Amino acid sequence: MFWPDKSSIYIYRNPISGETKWKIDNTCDQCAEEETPLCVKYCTYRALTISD
Amino acid sequence: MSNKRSIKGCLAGKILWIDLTNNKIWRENTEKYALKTLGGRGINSLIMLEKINCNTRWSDPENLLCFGVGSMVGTMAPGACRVDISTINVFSGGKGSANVGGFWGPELKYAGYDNLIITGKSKKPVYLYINDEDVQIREADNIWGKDIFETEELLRAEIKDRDIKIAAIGPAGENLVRGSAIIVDTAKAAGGSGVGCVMGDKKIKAVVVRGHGKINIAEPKKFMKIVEECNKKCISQESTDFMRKAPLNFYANPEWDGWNTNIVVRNGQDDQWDYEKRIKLMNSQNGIPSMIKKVRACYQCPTGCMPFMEIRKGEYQGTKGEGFWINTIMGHACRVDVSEPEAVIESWILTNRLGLDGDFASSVISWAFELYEKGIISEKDTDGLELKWGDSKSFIEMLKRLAHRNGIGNILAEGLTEAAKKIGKNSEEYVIQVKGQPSIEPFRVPKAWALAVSTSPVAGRHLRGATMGNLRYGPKPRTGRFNITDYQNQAYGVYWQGKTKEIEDNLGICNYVGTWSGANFLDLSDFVQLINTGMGLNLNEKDLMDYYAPIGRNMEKAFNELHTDMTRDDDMPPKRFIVEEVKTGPYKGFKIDIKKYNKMLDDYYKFWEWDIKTGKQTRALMEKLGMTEIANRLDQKGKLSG
Repeated sequence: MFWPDKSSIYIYRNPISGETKWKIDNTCDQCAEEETPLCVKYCTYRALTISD
Repeated sequence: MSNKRSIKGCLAGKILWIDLTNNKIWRENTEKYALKTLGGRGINSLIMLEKINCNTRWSDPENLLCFGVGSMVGTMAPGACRVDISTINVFSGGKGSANVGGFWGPELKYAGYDNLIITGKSKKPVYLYINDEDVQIREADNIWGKDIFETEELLRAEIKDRDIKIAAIGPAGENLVRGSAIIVDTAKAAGGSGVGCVMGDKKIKAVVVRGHGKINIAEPKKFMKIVEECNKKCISQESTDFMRKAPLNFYANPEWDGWNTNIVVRNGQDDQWDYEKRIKLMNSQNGIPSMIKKVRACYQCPTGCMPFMEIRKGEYQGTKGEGFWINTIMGHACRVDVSEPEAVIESWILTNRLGLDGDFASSVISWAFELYEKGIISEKDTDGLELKWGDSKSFIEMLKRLAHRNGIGNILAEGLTEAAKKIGKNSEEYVIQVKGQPSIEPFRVPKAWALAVSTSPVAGRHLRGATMGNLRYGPKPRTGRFNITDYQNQAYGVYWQGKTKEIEDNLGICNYVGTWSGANFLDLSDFVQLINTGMGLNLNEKDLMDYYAPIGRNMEKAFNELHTDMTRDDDMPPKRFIVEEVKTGPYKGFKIDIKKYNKMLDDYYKFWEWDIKTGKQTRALMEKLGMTEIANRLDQKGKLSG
């Protein structure tokens, strides 16, 4: 299912100023049971990456 | 056709109805409509056909304003963000439809609704507030009269939730300017058919949405695998990289052939814009590309095509916003001969703020410029304003007058048919429109484009089958050079592209990641897999192209037949492009050859299985598509072939 309200990532876009803000809250466990965090795997724009 | 007759995912599940006259709100299950159409625009068209009486006019309370979010929207399918807004077309009296992206559509799905259908008319200005189950009709006195940016800011301050998504009208819609848009996320315009005018007529300033719910998927793992493959497909394209880094930059090359094939200059006096003006407007040092601050993407878009502009110098310094696109160059530059980049950006962002449809505004204003040039109108008619080609200040002032119905703006606001009647003096000779809707599209050089725009059921716009350039149309394999100036073999491409657009609009997938963007983006095989794994259906490509797509187009055509007296003549290009040649440039001498165009139109009707002589639908076709009841209605009105 798709349920953005439950997402650990929050993105705010202000279309007037062009400002974009984002944050990841402490509910994110980087998809511990997955090989790659799902947000990274499926990021449509490929904006999310993993860094050391 | 599928024998599975239930939908197990992707839909929010409900259609929300709001009756403004009687202050009533109710909900209906989506599934029965989605099974017939797949969703989105299809559901809007079906409801309009079933519920709107043939005698209803756009301004009657019984007219419906329908927001249809595509069935894939709210999932992670690439480009699945689109919303169809359908209503009676204020120009043609038939089917009206405009399509918009952004984030409003997904939010409505998360609130629990696939479609929002508004009937009736409010006596006083209101806005609709939809927060999941909580649906309210709220007073809008404090935002009525405000422009789009002000409306957005005031609503955010009042509601105190910065995640709300807003679809609003500006002063143009409030003042019932026929070519008014509904603007989503401050910049994305549902422009055609006068949808903003209908919203203004119903006295709705905005529809504010907030959703906290979820969208289920029939087979999540399989669906996500398809999503991953689709994303890879889109992202690996060279054009995606190009769009992200430098959208519009193909216009930065003054030699690019699109400048010669796709531009209409000075209200159609020529299709060739001066070389120096191209450079001045689009050079990368200080032209429009230099003012792109960033590129923004709609919900789930792997491409991103929307430049956010900021003017950093001169008298318009500080103006910023998004929404500038190719039609801006066509309408707000070439059509009125304005080549100052800052002025073009200023005029475009103003167009959005005022809630005008940019194509309509540049059409009617360029017509007024030509009347002024020819001495048909003078400064007496314009309250002292000189309407000279290239005068950006006059153009910007005219946008304001149009939206607020001041002076000559009040005449233009009624559309070109009424304006020409009022002004007289042979002014109708310079009117450029299709089915009553002003159009900025090119006709004389790109023949498939001309056919698609002329035959569009929603009047004079290109997103119902227009094809352009190599590899940009038709079923695979796409081989050979596609010569856009040919008449031969174009009808099939327009027919095919028109059908795939039906599917894309029902799914809510942007055609910039779909079939319009070339052979290597998403196509029918991807759509089938997304539908089957997401919705739990069992369809194939043939089902989409031989059943759902023809149903979509035939519903809109039937609506036009039932509500108007359109004939084959209404599928013809504007007269100017048949009688006047391109005057300069590599395509000098080009115009529409009416005999060859008619042959192209014959072929097009044949592909759709419509009567060649009249363009009307046949009983055999309608029964084949399971549309017998509509065939009977057409028959009763003498609108069925034979």
